[in-house]
Amino acid sequence: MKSHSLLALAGLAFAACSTAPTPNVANDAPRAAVAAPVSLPANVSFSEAGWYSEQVKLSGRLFTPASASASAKAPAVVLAPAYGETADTLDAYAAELAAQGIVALAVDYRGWGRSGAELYLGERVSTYDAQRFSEHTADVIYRRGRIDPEQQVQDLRNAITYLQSLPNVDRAKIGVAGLGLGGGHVISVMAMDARAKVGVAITPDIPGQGEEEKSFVPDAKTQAEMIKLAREGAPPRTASATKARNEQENRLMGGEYKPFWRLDAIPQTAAVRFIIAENDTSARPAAKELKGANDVKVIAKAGAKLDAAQTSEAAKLTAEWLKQKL
Amino acid sequence: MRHAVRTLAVVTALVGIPAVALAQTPAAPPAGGRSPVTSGEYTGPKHIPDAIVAQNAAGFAEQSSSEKWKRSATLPEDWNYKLAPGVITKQVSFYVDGGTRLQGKMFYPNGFDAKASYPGIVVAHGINALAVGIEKYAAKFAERGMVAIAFDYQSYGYSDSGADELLLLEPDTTTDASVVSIKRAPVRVKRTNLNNVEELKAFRAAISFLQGEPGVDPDRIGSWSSSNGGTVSSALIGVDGRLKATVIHVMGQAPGQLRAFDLNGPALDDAIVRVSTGQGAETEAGFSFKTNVDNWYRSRSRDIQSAAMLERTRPTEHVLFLPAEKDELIGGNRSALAGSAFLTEHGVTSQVITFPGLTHFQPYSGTGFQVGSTLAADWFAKFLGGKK
Repeated sequence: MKSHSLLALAGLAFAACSTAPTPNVANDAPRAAVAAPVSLPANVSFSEAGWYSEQVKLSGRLFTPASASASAKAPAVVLAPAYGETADTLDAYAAELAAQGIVALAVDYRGWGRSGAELYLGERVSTYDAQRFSEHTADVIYRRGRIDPEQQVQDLRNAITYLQSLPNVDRAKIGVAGLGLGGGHVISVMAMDARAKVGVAITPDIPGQGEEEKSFVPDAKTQAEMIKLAREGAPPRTASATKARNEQENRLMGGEYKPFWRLDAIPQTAAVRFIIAENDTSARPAAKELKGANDVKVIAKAGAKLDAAQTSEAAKLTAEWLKQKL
Repeated sequence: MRHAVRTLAVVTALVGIPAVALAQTPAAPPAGGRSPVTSGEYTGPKHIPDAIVAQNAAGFAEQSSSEKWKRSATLPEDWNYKLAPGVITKQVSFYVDGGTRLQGKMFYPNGFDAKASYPGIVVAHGINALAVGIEKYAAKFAERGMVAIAFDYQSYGYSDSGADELLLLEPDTTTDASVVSIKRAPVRVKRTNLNNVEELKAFRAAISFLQGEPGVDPDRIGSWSSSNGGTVSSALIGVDGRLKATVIHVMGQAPGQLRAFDLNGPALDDAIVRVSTGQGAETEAGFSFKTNVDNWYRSRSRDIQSAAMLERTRPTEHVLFLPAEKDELIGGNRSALAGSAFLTEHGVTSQVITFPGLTHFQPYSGTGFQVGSTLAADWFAKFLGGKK
């Protein structure tokens, strides 16, 4: 191999400067088994699914109808939890979908629920770009509780890939549904990924409406925060520092997330239903931006959060649309 | 020999973009009401004089015809430079994406006074490349009185690998009960993880870092980007309104609309392997030095939607394209002309100056470098000003 003298200097950067680990993982026991759904319709089975999303091992709650098989492939739907929520909050939707013959996978985003943490190196390790992969035992910082909306969208897109890998799933019949910010993610996934052909956004949070679609200009306080994160933002190492960092990063990343601006990229062939509370103001303008089939269903007397009966109604409306359009 | 400190023989700078990658770039749908640009001649406004090109006609003629200057990659000799008297440099670390450490090299002008106010320029490398291949541009901008930073993207060169490149080789037992845990664990570290989405984040983190540098005016930040870095930059100008001046070197970007991409056939099969195992197929990329990258980059890199981001660029931006007339990888200067015309229509100050007769890798050295770096510095000087 040719070696360039200019680059010989570069090796110096990789001298390890190990810092003492802060061992605050007391419990290294394996996780408890996944909690089964409170109720499961007849002819539906439940299991925990696992797949990788950008190197993080994710977990999901998989509801499979007995009717789905390799010879009778079923449509499949990815379910997206709301802001700061986990997959188990969507059991009612997954159960209803599976009861209607659709494979349903509720996702734990990276750093949440039963999915893996986001990893950072707690010390320098020596690497060598020409050797693409190297294994190290090193101090690793596991961060949980970050909410990077764009990464969550990637988690959902990789969940679609996982569903397409299943022998009992029809690769051409994929839908996506989500609650709250997960409803905003439905818009993002469908605007970026033509595999998602049908969507349902439930009491969705779709930021960006009514704002000028121009580049982000931070106010003075936000800019100061961005500068501080870039200059002093090594991974936090204590619980209190991490909580503060999560709050800050989640606020900054959320502030730049504009799924409303993506509505017009959803293909004309895709179909979207909005299930909204009576006082919702964003879904109807969102529907107007769409080129393809769409409708808006209102849950009577609903606020931002649906109660059990309203959830049941929303789940039926979700399954109805997905079944009809897939 | 675990953790041995070794020479970084790396991915030496591949300051270009393979044709195969460009074929994957979203084709611009017919832009509403605009006729396609067919002429190679720039007819838009000239915000800075381009007489230097004609003055160097002999140099360009020699560079485009002489065997000595033939290039299908940049060569180590093309990366060399001499620091101007008084220019000083410093290695710095900065952070992206929750704490991944990136490294940059700062260049300060002669007589730098941290109590004064200087424009700051972020200098970004190309596909599967390294900052070392293009830091001479940062040196040039410092020579012209600006503060500049050249940096390696995440998982390249001196910069660390981040969450996207660390695969845990044991079960992750952490739970939501604890937002942070630290322990010794086996990990597989991936390098050269080509990914425009991560490059965009790194670019923005470098802007933030530079804004906070004593002596740099946070309201006078510019960017210079090389080749595929220019594709990232075309998205960046529509994403980050902090930039006031941008120079896109040997790349263009025709306008287009946001669009959903399908995933099927072999790319889907590869994606399935990725979600099942954490790692999909690899492919060789690069020019001056070749390494493997993930095949997946072809799908993932489109997600920055660079064609559609042009329309989000604010009139506070000023964008200069410096394409090569005979660019064999992106078809000459067509996409630069189309992008610049579109930006101009949308109220953004923009200009194209074409390197006559040169191919993709020639403008990094010889007459191409002298003229290109001068024009870039002229652009920054005009729209960012000097020391205050």
